[in-house]
Amino acid sequence: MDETRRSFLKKAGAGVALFTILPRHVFGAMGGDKRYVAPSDQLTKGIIGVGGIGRSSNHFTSDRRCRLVAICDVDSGHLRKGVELGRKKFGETLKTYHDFRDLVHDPNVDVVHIATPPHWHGIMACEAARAGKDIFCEKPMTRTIGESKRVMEAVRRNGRIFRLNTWFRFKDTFYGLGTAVEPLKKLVDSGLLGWPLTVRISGATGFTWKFFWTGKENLVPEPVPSELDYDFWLGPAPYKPYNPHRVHQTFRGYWDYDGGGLGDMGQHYIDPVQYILGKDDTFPVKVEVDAPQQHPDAIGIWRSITYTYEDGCKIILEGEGFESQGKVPYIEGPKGKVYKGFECSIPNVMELIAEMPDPDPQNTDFIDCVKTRRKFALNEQNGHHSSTIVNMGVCALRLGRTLHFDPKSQLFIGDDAANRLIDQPMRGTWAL
Amino acid sequence: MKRIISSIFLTFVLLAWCLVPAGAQDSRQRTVLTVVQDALAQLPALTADDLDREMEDIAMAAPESVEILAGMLVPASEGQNSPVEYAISGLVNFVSASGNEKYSAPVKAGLAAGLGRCTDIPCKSFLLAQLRLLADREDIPVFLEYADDENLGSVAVNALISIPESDEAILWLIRSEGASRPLLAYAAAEKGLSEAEPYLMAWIEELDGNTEEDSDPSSKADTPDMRTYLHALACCGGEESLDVLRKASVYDYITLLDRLAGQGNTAAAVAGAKKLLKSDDTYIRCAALELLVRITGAGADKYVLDAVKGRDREYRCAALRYAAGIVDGSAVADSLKKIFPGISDVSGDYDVIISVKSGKKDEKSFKYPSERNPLIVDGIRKLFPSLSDEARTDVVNWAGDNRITGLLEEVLRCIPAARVPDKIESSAALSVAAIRAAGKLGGEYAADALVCQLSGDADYARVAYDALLSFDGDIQERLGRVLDDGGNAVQYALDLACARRMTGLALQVFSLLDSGDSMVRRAAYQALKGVVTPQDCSRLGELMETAGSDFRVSALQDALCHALQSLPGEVQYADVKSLIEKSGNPALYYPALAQAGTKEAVAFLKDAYAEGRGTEAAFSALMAVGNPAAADVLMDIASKDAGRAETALVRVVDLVSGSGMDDMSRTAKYAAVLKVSREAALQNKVLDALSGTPVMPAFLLAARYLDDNGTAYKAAGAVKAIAAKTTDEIDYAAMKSALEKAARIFSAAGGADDGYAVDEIKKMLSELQPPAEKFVLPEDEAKAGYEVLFDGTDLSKWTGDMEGYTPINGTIFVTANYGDSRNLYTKKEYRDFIFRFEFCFVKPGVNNGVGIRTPMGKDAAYWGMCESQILDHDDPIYNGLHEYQVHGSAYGIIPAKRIVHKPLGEWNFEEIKVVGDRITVTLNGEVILDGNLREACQGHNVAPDGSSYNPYTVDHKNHPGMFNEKGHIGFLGHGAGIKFRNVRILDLDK
Repeated sequence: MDETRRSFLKKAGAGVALFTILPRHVFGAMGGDKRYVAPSDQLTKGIIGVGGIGRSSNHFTSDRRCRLVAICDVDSGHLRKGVELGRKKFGETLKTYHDFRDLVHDPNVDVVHIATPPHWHGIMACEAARAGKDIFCEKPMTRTIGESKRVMEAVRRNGRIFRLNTWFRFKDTFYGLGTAVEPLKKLVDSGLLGWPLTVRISGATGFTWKFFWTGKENLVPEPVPSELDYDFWLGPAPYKPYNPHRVHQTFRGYWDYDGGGLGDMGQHYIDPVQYILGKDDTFPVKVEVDAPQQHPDAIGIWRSITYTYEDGCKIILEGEGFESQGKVPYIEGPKGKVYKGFECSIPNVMELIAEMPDPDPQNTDFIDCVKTRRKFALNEQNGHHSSTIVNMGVCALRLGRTLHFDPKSQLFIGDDAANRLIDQPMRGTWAL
Repeated sequence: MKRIISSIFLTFVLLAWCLVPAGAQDSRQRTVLTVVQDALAQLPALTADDLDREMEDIAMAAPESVEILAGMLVPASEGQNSPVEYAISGLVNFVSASGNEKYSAPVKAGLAAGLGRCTDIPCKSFLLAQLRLLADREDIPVFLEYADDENLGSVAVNALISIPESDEAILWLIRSEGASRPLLAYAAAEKGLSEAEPYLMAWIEELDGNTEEDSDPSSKADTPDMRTYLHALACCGGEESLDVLRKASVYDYITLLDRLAGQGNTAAAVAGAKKLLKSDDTYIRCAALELLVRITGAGADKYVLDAVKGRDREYRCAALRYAAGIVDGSAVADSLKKIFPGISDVSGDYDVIISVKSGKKDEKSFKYPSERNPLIVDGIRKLFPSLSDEARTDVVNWAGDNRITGLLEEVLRCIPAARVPDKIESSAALSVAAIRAAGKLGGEYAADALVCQLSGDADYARVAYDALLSFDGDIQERLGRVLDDGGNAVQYALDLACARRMTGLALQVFSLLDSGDSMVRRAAYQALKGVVTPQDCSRLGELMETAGSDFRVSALQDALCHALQSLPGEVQYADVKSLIEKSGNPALYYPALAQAGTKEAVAFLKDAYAEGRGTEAAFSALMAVGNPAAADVLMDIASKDAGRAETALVRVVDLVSGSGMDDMSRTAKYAAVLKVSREAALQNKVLDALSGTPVMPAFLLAARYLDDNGTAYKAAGAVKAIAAKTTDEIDYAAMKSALEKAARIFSAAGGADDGYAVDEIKKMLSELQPPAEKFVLPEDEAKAGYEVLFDGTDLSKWTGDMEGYTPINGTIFVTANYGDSRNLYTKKEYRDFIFRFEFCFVKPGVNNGVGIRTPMGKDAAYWGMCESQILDHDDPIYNGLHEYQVHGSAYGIIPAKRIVHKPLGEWNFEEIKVVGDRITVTLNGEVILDGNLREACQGHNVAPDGSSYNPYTVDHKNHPGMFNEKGHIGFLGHGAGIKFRNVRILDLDK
């Protein structure tokens, strides 16, 4: 940490009255259009969380269109490695921060890339939106239903561009399914499969739920390593004594920070289904779980999670080791089925859908979206929807029962305990 | 007051506690402690029903049971609480489910009492958090007790926030400072407590350290506490707080404006928001405008239009986004009437192109709620001519993204080649935006403009072409005219006709094959495949015979395949065959044969290859066949033609993996490929495929490639995948060494996913069970004179199918394919004996049996004394089972009592005692069969009349071996899925 938020403010001087927003114009070109203009129209970004995906080759990037200028982490070891990598890869001396708010309010940062564990995503995204930053957020969007809703509102209110980082709704072969999503969308839109549809996300259709993301019970407290600010790492999460399995590469196994394999892969797998079914603006009305009892802290495995929409469409998730046997369709409708590799029960289906118009083009260049202020293909709105579906499943798993959901109010129906999982308590003074 | 509330509550808890007499018993005469212990032994529950059953018992014994449970929590640092945590959270889940409300009060009382006695902070925190899920008004005192606790205050106050009627309690805490201020501020904020406003103001002032009226609260603003107070003030305050927040924190100020609006004080909110529109910071102006639009709806159109006119692109686009929610599409019709006077229907959904997607007028895109206001769209339309190019671009993008058909006219005017009045000079960005927007807006006029653009500037034509690919409407007729008229657009029209399968344009495409323009000719040939139907086959054949150039031939071959592909394979084969018969060059039709893919087609191509009738073409065709039958042909070619081997084998692997053959058969094919393959690329491909065949031979095969650098990574992936999925028994040592190698390989590779893989393998290794010690007879059996027949390693006392039955990891593992019937026999023959063994099913539906006094190689059920059935008879595949076929039965002679086996993977213990004609079968301690075979068939093991129908046996069959004096004992295989261990015998003749 080379500059605390406080000393930063002092430097900004008495002129800064509006502390929560730290206007970047103060540091940028004074007068005229006061917005700070980076050299040659190049955007700048800062990454929060450089221990895992944040330091991966896909994201730890710096180029002509968008330059990496700052990184932030509460583990000084991660920061050190990040700085080294920045020097080696781009010959840059990156600014480092310990407190994400300092990075968010750094006037030299245009885009905030959130790559922390999910229990931080909501707070960080809202802070960034309120500071006038555009946001690139890793999946899952948030770990509660309430948080992604607040992110959606903050992004919209402040006119920000938000990208949630999963991409199968617009590119790449959809995991083990062996096809991209676009022809599936076309097929579904064509009505050839009939309606309502059932989508099965399962090992049998090419998806793995990564059940190695389970937590450990009976963790024995251990001393916190000197390079880690564990209290800040926990942030809004309930205080639990430190054990290395809680943090860094293995945090996904604990409800306090993520949702296990469902949290890790859920939005990757479910977001494209929302798109395929044309349900980006709604939610399922029911979620059923078949699972062993879950521990209140450590995430376990599950057999199946079934979502049902008001019109009868279903999404069925099958846990690892509990897949349907035999030949299993990915999408099944009253008039047809489609399997892995786009194998379809309807003869000659590729020809039939070729007659249909392609799906609407999507905005898939984030930098371009930031510059031309257009919504990214997977944004705060549809992102909130698919994130919520994952988190509905989390709530049902934790309570071990069927839950009914009202898409309008975005609350569970007739279940107080479930609704108390929608906005979970935040520790200390962290709030959204 | 807090003390009073608490003590009243504690009295209540103590009373409740006393109501349950110590040592009380439930309906099953268990003490409460036993109820709790019984439940703990069953947790974590495997299913919701299991959990409910256990939890109901505990709930019925609450509060005592709950207090006992809570009392079992030891300090978290000892790391032993998991069973109790399962129990308490399971109980809370059970009680919070609808229908179980009656248990709520006693369970909560138990939790509260347990909380009182617990001294470990993490455990207390856990109990409080669990109680939060159930809490209602009556539980407020419990949480008040902990509100000022340094460690538990946060959990307690959060619980209070969750309780719907806790406002008074929170206010009381605020007044009495019964918890830390930031925590109380947070609570006030979450609850929106207006009454907290003066306290929050005071706290802010105090922290600010300056009581002067115009003091600037931001001087201490950058502390978490101050942030929290200001945020709380925004969520609780009224107009009086506006001033403080405006100076201190704009974002909180906006939150407060929003709150005021929500309370009906729109005047204050609107006034505040309007002032903020002058902010230097875009995102503050955005937030203010968002608020204005939300509060005043179309009343904010002036500000939206200002934003659209302004120079700030961020603000403009945000404004348009807010406005999208309140625009009205009905203005469409008016505008269209102006530029297209011919239009008659102006009722809001104008004359749209028939939607291809729904087959009818696309109502969704053109119907708008009537309450929306047209002013903004009207306003934007008026502004449009005076807007900057960038602003126009944004408006046009917006119109497309939000289907604002009211701006169609403006959009079309920005399309360079569109034939509309009042054209606008557009930059490249605007032109592209307009073309794309027109594609989304749809309708007749957009279609016209886009088709026009196909003949315009090349770059834009490409954009128009893309827009037409996703254009929802029938454009065939328009493209037909383009094809007739000629010109630049013809090539695009051909591509579109092909991509969207416009078979109605086939004739025109055929005629363009002779076009004078070489580019058009070429495009027409390429487009053929998208427009032809089965009727065009013979024409395509004729063209092929005379085509001349390679390009044409391959385009025509493609087209022929497309023309045929909707027909069944046999019909395709017949059609192609008849074309071949007329042809001077059969090889032209090999691709079509490959597509037909029938056995006959494969045979034809095989012969063609062998006989040199277009060897190259036949080989390419064989490579393209989808029928797995081609795999064998290609294997054969690979073995004879080294030059083609690798290529052919790659295809073999694809065919096999897509073939639907069972895992063992595919593994055998892969093994054959690996046997001849020398190149790492092919070996890696096979290793990838092996990941999908989770059987033992595949594991051992993949493990062999772990040591070669070129294949190590893929082999590690295969080993990991198979180990994770297989139900086969794999030798412990082989498994362990392969997994350890795989972990090292992934670890060295170092990518993000490799880290996951290492974790996954470590988990598998930790769960790997070393084989049991060699079986040694228990003392009593040793004394009695039992002899071990299988000790876990040694099958030397056995004979028969020694390949299908192998000792692995201390068990006899049956590797014979499912459905094979191959047997294992004792070398010795026995007459009277007690035969003891354990067995375990590893997959559902397993069928095996024990042959008694049987000869080798003949069906023991008939030629032996009998077969004692081993069968997973509860599997649904055995729904129609005869009772003499259930597990334990002397097959066909005496039915056994139907029992339930232990679950898959667990060991069952069986004893078969045979003395004279009597057989006694005991399974898991229960006698399931005890009968005399001779008596059962009244002495008639075969039909007295010598026929094959024996009225005396239950299955009415002859059992000639029933009265054998002696014979072997055998395991009678019907395939894999079962393991045996600890096999021993007491020979009663000794």
